[in-house]
Amino acid sequence: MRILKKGDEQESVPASALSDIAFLLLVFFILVSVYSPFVAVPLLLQKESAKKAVSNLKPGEKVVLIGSKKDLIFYKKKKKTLKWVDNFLKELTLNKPRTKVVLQVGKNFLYGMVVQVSSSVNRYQIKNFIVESSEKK
Amino acid sequence: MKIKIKKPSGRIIPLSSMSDIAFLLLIFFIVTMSIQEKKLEKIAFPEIYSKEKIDSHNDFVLIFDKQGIVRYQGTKINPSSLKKIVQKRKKEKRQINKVRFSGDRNCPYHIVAQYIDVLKTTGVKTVIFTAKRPDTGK
Repeated sequence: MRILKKGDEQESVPASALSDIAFLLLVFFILVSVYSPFVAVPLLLQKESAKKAVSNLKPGEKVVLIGSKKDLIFYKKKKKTLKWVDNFLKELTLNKPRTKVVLQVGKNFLYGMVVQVSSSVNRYQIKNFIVESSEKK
Repeated sequence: MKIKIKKPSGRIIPLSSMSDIAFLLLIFFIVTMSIQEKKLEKIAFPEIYSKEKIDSHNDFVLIFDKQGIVRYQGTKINPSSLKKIVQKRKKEKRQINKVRFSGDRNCPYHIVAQYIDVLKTTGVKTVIFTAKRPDTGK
């Protein structure tokens, strides 16, 4: 057994650097937890059989939006804005929740526009949404 | 009268925190370097208001630019090579259920559709489009 004599120093944990460690951790977490500007827009891929089933539906059971040129959306041959499409889908889920939504896109229709419509579809939890190319490859 | 003579106080610059400063600088440069890298990609993401977060565990990401050049892990791919990659993963029992598309909003959709069609045949159930919140600057 070790006997403490006069003059022997007691061992202690140095705590002066604790604040430095705390600041380092703080800085680390501030830098790591970056506010991500990115969001996800999921699109469920429908089977071919589901696609065919939708094509056989009557006009009242499905809604067909047509994406033409780069960024034009038509519904019943009338040009519509993205805001209109959003409101339309909102009303659709309230009044006819089982209606299928089809977005037929032309060759030059932009990817960004499809994402915008898909985002509205997700927002209103429309399960039956299909994006199809109107032109055969 | 007793005159007090001030002893010269030995002022020493504390060097113990130098390592902390070094670490701070190191972290700063690591972070700023990664930001620069992201800016180089020059992808104009679609802008939407949404709260759905990106699943960072999803490692299968296809990146495409305005011209429709699609890359997977930095390598240019086409629909047939994508099929091979997915099938290879399937053989290795690493089935892909979700594929993330990070692309330019000005890319024609029919190019993306070719890849989606391939993914459908390989059993992928969901594709996730990456978008950006509009309130954030580039």
